[in-house]
Amino acid sequence: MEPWLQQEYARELAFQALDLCWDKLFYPKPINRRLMDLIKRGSKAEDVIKELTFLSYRYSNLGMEILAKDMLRLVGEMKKLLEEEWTLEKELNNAMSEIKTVLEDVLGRAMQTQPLLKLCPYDEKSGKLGSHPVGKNEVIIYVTNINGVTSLHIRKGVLAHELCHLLMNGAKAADWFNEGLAICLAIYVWEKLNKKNLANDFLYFVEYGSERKGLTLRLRKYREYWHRVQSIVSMVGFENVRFLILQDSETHKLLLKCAKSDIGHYRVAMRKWLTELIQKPPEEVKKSLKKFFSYPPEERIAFLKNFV
Amino acid sequence: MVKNLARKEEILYNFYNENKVKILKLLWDKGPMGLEEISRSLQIDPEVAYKELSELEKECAIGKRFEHHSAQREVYYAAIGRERVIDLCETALRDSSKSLSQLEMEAEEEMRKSLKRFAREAYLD
Repeated sequence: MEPWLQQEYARELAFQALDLCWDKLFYPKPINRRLMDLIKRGSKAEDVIKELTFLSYRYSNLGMEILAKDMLRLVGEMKKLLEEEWTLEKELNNAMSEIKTVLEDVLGRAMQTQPLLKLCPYDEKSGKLGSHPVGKNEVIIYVTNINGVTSLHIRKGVLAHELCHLLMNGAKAADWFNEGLAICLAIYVWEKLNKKNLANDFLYFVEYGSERKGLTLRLRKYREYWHRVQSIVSMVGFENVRFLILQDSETHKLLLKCAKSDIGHYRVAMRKWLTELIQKPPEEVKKSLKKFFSYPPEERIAFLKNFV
Repeated sequence: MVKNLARKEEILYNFYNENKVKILKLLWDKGPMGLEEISRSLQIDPEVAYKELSELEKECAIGKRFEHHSAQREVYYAAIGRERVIDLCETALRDSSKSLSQLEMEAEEEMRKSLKRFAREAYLD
């Protein structure tokens, strides 16, 4: 393991252990807080295990039995991971296999081989969390050193986001659509895999992070793209995403217009119409959408009544 | 500095009896030692010393290992440094002064803050 990654090992291991036993703990957040405070960069995993065990007994002395038990449970999980020779690289590679299957399924595209995972140190100046070098079957994850269980969660969210880009590379979807969908799917995938905490943390990162003043323009822009795509996807459903990615930029804009149009009670009808429509050849989809918007509003409603 | 540390060590009496505190201090000051040496230095019965050492070992305050450089002998050593032990004891005492719901809220706030700080700089590509 490279020295810079070794420096992060104890923290990564502890937060992975916490992630694994999160649902079994009574007080996962205070435990999380302790990990944030106690584990410093470069700490040895064995030392962290000793210190947490020691702290657990102190809680027990003070009558905080539940917290003490929670801490010991975490220590047990850490020991298990250490015995299994857990590494971040293995963890992310496993995560990639999990994500890949769900993404391939929803996007209707298959990858011949699993992309190569490369871990690089996070550079605060660039602020990059992940990338997918053009022409290479490779995903780069920049290992962040933020304290907190969220760091691993965000990294996994980023991994899903980048993998989504790799899968969609051939689809030539519009830029804003690509970016927005990659965020939507990153959240969807982890929910689908029943990792709600993870999905929520990534969602919170994109949503909340984007509201910050002084935040990189790029993340703020991506949030907007994500919201746009979300409104389209909520119209046609995730099961039809594979048809969405076949459409061109102009059609995506028209679909967004549909999703945002004020049609009162006819949303269900519009959903039915769009769901059937996008399964047709892309040119036909575009033509129909253009035709729809060429009608005056009352005629649009009359048209949608056919789908009630 | 030394005086300050000695005062801080008083915190140990919240958690340990006299013998255990003496053992910890001895191992911090003199380094690894065998059972007999410990009981002789502290003038406590070897059986009592053994019992205290086993309890301290169970909770990871001390460790046990074989030393090979002279005749092979089993020694006890302080597994966690003096200042770190004081830190951890202080942490536990501080936590015990709050309700668990308060601890939960503080932890949530801390997570949010650390995420905010991070999100200000990072982005997706």
